[in-house]
Amino acid sequence: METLTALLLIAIISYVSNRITPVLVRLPIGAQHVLFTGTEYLFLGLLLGPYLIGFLSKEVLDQLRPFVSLALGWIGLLYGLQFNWRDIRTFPLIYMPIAFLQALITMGIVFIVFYPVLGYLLGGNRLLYPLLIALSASASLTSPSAIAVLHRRVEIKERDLVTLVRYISGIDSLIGITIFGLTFAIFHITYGYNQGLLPLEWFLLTIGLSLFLAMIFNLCLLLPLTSNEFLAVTTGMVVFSSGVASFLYLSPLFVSMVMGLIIANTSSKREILYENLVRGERPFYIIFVIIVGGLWTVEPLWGGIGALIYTLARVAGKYLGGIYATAIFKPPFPIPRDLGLALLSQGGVAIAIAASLQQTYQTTLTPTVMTIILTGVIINEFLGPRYLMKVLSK
Amino acid sequence: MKMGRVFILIILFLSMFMLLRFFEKGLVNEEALPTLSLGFVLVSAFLFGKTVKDYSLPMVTGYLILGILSGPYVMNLISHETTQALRLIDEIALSLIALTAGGELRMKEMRNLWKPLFYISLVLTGVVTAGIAIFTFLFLYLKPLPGAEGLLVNLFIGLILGIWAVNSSPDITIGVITEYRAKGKLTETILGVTILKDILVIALFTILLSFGQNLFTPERGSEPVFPLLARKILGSFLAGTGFGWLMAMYLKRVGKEVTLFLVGSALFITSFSHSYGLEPILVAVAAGFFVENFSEEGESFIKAVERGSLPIYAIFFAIAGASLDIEGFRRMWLIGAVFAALRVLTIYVGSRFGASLAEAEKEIGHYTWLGLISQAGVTLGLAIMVERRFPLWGMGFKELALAIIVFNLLLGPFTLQYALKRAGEIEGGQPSR
Repeated sequence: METLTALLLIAIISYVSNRITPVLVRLPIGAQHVLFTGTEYLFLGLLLGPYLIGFLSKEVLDQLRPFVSLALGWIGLLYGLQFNWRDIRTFPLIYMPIAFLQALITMGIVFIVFYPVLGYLLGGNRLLYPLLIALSASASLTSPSAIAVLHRRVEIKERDLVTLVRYISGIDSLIGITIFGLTFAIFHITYGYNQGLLPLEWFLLTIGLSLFLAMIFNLCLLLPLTSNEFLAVTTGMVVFSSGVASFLYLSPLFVSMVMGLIIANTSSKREILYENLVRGERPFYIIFVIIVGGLWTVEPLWGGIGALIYTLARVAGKYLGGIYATAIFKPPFPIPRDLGLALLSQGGVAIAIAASLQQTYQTTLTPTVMTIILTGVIINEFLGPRYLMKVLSK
Repeated sequence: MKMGRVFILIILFLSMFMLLRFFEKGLVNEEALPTLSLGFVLVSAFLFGKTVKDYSLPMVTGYLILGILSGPYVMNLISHETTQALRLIDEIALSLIALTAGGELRMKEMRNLWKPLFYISLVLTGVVTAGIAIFTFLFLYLKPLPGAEGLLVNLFIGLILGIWAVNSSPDITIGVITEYRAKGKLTETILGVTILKDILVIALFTILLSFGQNLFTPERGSEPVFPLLARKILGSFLAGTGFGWLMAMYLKRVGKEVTLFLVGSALFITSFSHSYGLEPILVAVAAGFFVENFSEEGESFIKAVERGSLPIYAIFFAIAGASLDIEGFRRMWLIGAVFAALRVLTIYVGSRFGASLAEAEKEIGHYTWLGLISQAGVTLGLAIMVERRFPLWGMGFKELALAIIVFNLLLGPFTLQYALKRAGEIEGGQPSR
């Protein structure tokens, strides 16, 4: 009963948000960006969650866990589908290493900054690495949403620089999702369990599983399907792949992304699938963010301090990443030194990483790390469009 | 393409089998089992449904068979705990199906059908109740249910089973009608009679259970019967009408994100009904009926519901199949078969007699009974209610009811589809001459 009422409330809120979000266009651009991305629903989830109002009690949240897995799969698949090689090839090839290198540099800097503290607190615990990688992988991600918000306010001319920023923010999450996804295999939660698999075996299983699920999905897409049937198969396959990954303590985000990546490059129905997923994304994503907010145990002191350090490290990472990546792989047009500051918008994939971490790796420090990531996302969503505007106006 | 579907199905079954068997308990996240099972059910039920359709069976039958096969009593790919964990989704699906059922009842088309609807429902209820009650009474005289002793108890069980047997499944009926996009007088009659009977059964069941409880288990106490009836039937219709008005207003004034809105409405209807002791199916049927007949938004409403109907039906019926206690069925299947056959016979007699009294058209007289055979989750719910109220012999009653349901569950969708085809009310159907 409680679950039903909670779901009802979530459904209504999702609806209302859908209606009012476009109205709030007169807010400062940072706040507008937060509303545009739906990040504010974290607060709503937090408010309804077990630590404040208690409407989303622990029991209700437990029953809603399948929705989190489902959302992770949805986000992963949608992201993977964007990697159509034929589309990517239309951009200069040099953009790709720039995107990936700046993400890796950001990851590295955040990793180095947090390693001493977390290493000290967790001692020899091997679960230190999933926490560190969640922090650094989430920091490396860039979302294209800031460009979309800016586009609503000012006219953006499609210059080379804009194309590059758009390209990087569309593609660089691949690195973060992949490294975070493979962490689930290498630092598998069941490591050391009697008759458990070795990290390499989990790694191979993750890759094999992703390919296998992509094959099944592709076979399903070969069948002649009406639009109603297409919806059934798509939803079913997203739920199934997320379910398989979560069942084996692997990353649903990564497995679904690989599945999407393969479908994007092998299936003729890629466009229809993408459109279907996008159509259901917004209300679905908001429900997900509210649940994550409910699952969030806020660690105000250390989480707050950590979030500030995280943001600073991320800004430094993006800034240096932009400089070094464009210095090593020189694009054929002038690049401002602070290109990295145009890449601060972080987006929903970072929230998905935090949720994924919370679902699988429950250590004493997980709530703190989750607080750091989620607070960091909110701060970065505020900063993102402002700095983007600054860089582009040059 | 048929081979392709079978191939994918085999792969899916093998994957589930390997995942559940080869990975030891400590290696897997059991909290993720409902998500895994849900995905498996959704894809495989759809594929299985399409496959059985190639053999002229309704997809609904495929979903049910797939649920039974993968359920806890056959392959155990969907455990009992998983079906329980998926109850929430099941309840939402039932509300959506009932909303569709209400939306399919068009007053314009039913205006000329009120006479057959009324007569068939009433006569059929009488004939089936009397036929099954007398037979049960005689049967229990020879072979009483464990815990049930005395003529009065046997008479009561006979009456309860008789009324229970009148009920046919609105969910299967609407599932088949939607699947085949059936339209016409027979379709409206079958749906109308199914819902009218549903109301009659709820009323009679409530009265009889209350009466039985006072007689056999007075220590348990019971709510006064008339306020209970008023709440269950009148209250449900009033609430449903209110929801229907709100939904119509929304569709008219806003008209966006209709699918999301409908899911939210289904949730609200279920939640509200449970909180106030209303009948969720009646509330949803009334809401759907209001939107279809008293607003201009009927068409867009039905379209929106049907747009997302396939995954809902696949999940709902597959879980219904998986929830069936096949062990119980194995113990009682022979008696169940006899009762199921008698039920079909009484439905035939009641429906034909009712139709002839109403001077209904030939198709309605000939084929309506074929559309009233199916029984499913709601009917099982009534049997469970009896089990809870009368713990002494309720278990035996439920097992007998279950054995009857399994036959009707598998036979019902097929006979309904056959009837609609013969009446020429589905695409590709051949009207009988």
